[in-house]
Amino acid sequence: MRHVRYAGYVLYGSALIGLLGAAEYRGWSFLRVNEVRNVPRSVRDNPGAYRSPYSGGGRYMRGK
Amino acid sequence: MGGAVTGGPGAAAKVAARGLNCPSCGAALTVRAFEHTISVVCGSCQSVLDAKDPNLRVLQRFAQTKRVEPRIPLGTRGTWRGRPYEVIGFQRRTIHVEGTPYSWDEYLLFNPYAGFRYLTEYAGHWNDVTTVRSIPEERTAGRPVARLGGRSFRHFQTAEASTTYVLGEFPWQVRVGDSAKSRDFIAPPYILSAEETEGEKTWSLGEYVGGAEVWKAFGLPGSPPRASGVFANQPSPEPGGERRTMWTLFLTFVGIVVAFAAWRAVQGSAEVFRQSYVLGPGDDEPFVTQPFTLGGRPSNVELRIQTDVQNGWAYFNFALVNLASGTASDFGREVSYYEGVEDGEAWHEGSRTDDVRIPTVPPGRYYLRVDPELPADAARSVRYTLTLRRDVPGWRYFLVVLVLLAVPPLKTVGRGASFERARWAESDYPPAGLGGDDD
Amino acid sequence: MTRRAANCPNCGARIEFLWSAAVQTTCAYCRSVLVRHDVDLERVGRVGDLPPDASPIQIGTEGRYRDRSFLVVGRILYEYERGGWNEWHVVMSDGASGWVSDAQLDYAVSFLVPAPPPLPNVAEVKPGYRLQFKGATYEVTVVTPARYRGVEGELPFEYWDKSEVFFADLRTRGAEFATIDYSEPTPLFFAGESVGYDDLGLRNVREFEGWGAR
Repeated sequence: MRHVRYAGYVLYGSALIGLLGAAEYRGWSFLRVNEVRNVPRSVRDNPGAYRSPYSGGGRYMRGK
Repeated sequence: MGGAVTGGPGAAAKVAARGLNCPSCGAALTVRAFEHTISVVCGSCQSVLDAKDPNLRVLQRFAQTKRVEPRIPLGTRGTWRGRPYEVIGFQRRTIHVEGTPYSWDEYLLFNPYAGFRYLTEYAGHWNDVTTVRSIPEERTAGRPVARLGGRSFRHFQTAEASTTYVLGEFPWQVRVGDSAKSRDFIAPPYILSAEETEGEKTWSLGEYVGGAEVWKAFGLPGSPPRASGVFANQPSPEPGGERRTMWTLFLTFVGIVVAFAAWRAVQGSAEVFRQSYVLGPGDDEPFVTQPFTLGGRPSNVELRIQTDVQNGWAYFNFALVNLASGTASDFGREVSYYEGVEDGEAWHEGSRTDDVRIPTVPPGRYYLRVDPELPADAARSVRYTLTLRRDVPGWRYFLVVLVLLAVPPLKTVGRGASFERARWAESDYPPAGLGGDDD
Repeated sequence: MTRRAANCPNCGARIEFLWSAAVQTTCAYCRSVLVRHDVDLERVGRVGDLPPDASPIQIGTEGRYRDRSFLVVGRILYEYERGGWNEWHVVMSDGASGWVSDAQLDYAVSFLVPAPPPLPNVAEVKPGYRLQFKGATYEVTVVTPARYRGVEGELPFEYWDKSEVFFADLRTRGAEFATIDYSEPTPLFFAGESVGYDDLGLRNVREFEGWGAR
């Protein structure tokens, strides 16, 4: 019966390390990022034309 | 009386069972152990008789008035350790600990070839006991230890044990009231006991067995009594060997994680962009950086914002835009720092620096679009530096994995430790905080 | 193997020897104790009725101890405060003489040690006394005053009509067992080991009413 426990722990540890390896390889992170598509090249000349889901976040988060 | 004539013609005749009658009350007596029996208890009047005396002299008249039913009835036969045994005797022994009596039962098993052995029972815990003829080595310095057959037994309890009830027959003299100094030493699942009377010491070795095994061996009806509490030599559900193996596995995993972390640290992460700016109040116009290249496989990008905010905040909206595909990772970060002195104590809140990792960014040419912001009533400018590094190890994740890896071995150790506390609570060495007597 | 035979000088019954070197034997029919002088048997006494006992071993039982097989040819029966015990005289396959003791079905095999270590005398011996023998420390566990109750079969020496004899049992940390027999003017030292019933591989043992063989 103890061999079941050892096998279980080895599986558990291997899964954790495997996940860690995948996270490091793929560069995972918990940052909440919005993906914005088709940002036109013209934004480089006119950065103000870009509309972000997070724009004005400072005013929003601080509520002044 | 029966018994075969030894030697001579007809020497092959079977040893016959003995038929006797109680001199006290006339009841028929059953003697199961042939000529080995020295004392026999009359089942009717509960007197102890001398089985070696032709007249069955009464040794103890009406030894007891109460009646106890042994869990295994006298005369029951079973197969134990590969051979047939019959239960021929029953004894209840009692010790007193701080005035409270504790009793256990002993069942004497007999086989005409292999001899005698015991089954003992206390609160549903059973032990298979045989006499030890060797002399164990005893160490009395510190906590006493007895060694036998290369195994060390730790002293568990010393008590005066008296016989408070007898039934059946015994190959030695018994009387209700007989008492012996009993010392128990444990090495779970074994227990080594020394019983001393008048300077003569007898050692016996017990092995913990489950009630189910006893019930099956003797074909007893129903279920065995449930074991309550932890018994002296009850095997631990988390034996030492298992704890060690779990820790060894844990350390192996830790080694792998640490090696992986060292490798990641040695790899380093390339800095792909660094630029410093000044943000004046009312100056929050969005801008874009020069393009830069992100190489390698799709991995993360760490953005570090270092500011000099003082009792204020700055907010940044970022978009990491891929020049070729026009896809952007868009997110917002706030940096705030406050400090002061209150009641003579200095305090601070927040941080001037923010690190964030953008996940899984494919390789390519990128630029950063930055939209900074200051509070409407900001008085001073904020200097800040943006640094981008490619493929930065997530150190927090390594820590979390190490902590999660430790959980199963810690649970194993915890369960084992709480079982051992319960075990030793009943001994002469109760763990601190569990009461009991301090000898 | 042809067995030597003779006739009982008392009752004429045929005595067949299981062991060629037997010094003493008993006649199963008239219970005479007979001592061998080469070809003749001399009647030296009579042994009374032996008390009934429940040892599973009997004369003719065969067994095995370590690397030798043995045959049970005789016994000495003792009684003491706690009951009785048998010293079964066995002859090993190499002709050596040994003893299998059965005390309430507790078995031990031992052999006479011709050159024993220095032995305590009867007055000195008591539980706890220690002596060294073959690298092991033996400790006296019990000193037993016993009553000789009788003999049966073939013995390697003359032994009969004793009254009270003293024995000291010695044990070690291991399975070794020894006994000092104080029935002779010079104490005799027997050494061997405790054994379990299965260790002896006994065949031709007694049967017990209500129990199958073995």
